[in-house]
Amino acid sequence: MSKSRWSFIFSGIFILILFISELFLGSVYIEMQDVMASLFGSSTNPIHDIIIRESRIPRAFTAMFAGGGLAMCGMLMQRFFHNPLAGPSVLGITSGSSFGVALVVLITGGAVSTQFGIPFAAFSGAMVVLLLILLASTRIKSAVTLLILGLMVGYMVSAGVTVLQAGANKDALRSFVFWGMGTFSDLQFSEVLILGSIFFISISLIAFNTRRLDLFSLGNDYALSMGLDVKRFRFLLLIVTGIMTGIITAYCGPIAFIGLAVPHLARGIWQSGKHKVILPAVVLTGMITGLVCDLLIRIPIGTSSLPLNAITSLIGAPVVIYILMKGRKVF
Amino acid sequence: MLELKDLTTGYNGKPLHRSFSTSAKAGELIILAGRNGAGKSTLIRNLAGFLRPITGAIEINSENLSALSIAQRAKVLSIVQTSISVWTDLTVLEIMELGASVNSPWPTTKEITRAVERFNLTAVLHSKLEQISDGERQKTMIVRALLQNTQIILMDEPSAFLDYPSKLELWKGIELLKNEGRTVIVCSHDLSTLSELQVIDRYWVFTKDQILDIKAPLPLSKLMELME
Repeated sequence: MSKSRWSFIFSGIFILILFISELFLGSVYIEMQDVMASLFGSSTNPIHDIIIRESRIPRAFTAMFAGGGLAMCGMLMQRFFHNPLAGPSVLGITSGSSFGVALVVLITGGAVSTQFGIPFAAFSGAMVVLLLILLASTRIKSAVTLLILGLMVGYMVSAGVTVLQAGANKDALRSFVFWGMGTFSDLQFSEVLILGSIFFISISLIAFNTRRLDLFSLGNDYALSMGLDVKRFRFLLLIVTGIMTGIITAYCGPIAFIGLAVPHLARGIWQSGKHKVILPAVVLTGMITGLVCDLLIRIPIGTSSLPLNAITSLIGAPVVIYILMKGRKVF
Repeated sequence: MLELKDLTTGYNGKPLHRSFSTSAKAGELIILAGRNGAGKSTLIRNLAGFLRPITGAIEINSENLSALSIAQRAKVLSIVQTSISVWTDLTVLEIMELGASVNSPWPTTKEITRAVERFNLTAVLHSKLEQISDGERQKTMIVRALLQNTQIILMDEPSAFLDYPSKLELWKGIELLKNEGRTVIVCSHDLSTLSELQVIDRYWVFTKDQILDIKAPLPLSKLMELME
């Protein structure tokens, strides 16, 4: 069996182990037989039942979908811009979400519903920025110009967030900072279903286009000369990345580094450039990263625990540094 | 057959050359010769359909190029560019497998082996594109274009990174394509090597404001004089 297949099998097993660990580990210790009983509907402890079914299972699925989704978006943006240091945030979509949340949280003084209000505000902000980028992409042919445009939109929106922060009260600021730390733990099952549906639709769309992604990796002119409608394809990549990043940021907050670092990690392990191999590899590695990060933030630090964004950056930054030190040829 | 009718090429409405009319038959090798910035690559981009001509039309088998869909164009035209400067993790073999256009079946192993042997690329078949030399990279893209199996092949400075033996291999390969009945249009500065070979049918020479269609053979000194 090839090394690539073994890596897929190992990843599958690893995900299963991490998923099960998600059910056991937490502030409340639950024994294995209680976890199993809760999973199969025969639990006699209603508190454990609630913790497993309404907290730990949705949280584990969220970590998988968000990790896998962000990793895929990172891979798509690195392809789109032919730049290994691109990530889902380069389009300014994450900043758009932040602005949406800042607008709602900071103006209402933190009195907004965290269950519906914040995700709605974040998704709306992300979609406004996505529409701007899509509109610009119909006029701008150069990926570099679009990259700079995305970064500039991001800066402008971040400046708007700073202005809103300056005039906000303490409670509102606290609420906004808390959202900015990122989390996989606040979703109800119905929201996980929405996230999961968008995750599977996005991955299926990209899975049908792996050969086109291979062509696209040779550059716009070669891809066009080989029959790829580059304009439409670029549009598809933007829409998938925008919606996926928007929904993840809306539910989990702005999560750093997974989108940027995981595609490189997966390429290093699978040693392939073919998207038929690299797409599932990136998604699985993203799921593993999401689950590992979520388990690590459960380590108690004093009376609280580590914020998710601190963990993703602590893991992600060394990966990016390694890539730069390795002197990978970019252009 | 490729026909250029009153073609004016240029960028942003600014013409580089006016009203060039000519045709290219099957089995012809045409060299685009001219100084830097004369507009050779612009014409290649027009012929590839990447850029619309300012005026006039390009017809392939009596059909207007701009009326063909992207997929239809990929079945009649392929291109080799000066260099591949993008970031890709694909291996030489994986690029060969992409060979045909996006909607066509993948080339067979037999087709790939034959093409690879022709260009001496067997040793690097499983290497990533970023791990091989510029010359090998260029030959990879030439073989990829051959596997696209089109009637017309456009090449923009295909010998730019090749050493002398590789250049000779390239031109031998191009001669084979010509003998197979394909129309090969090559933009090249490698005129001294070309003048030694007897494979060229015509030159499209880029002067200051027009393109001249001249039958080969043409002495190098005369060619230089026209390009001034």
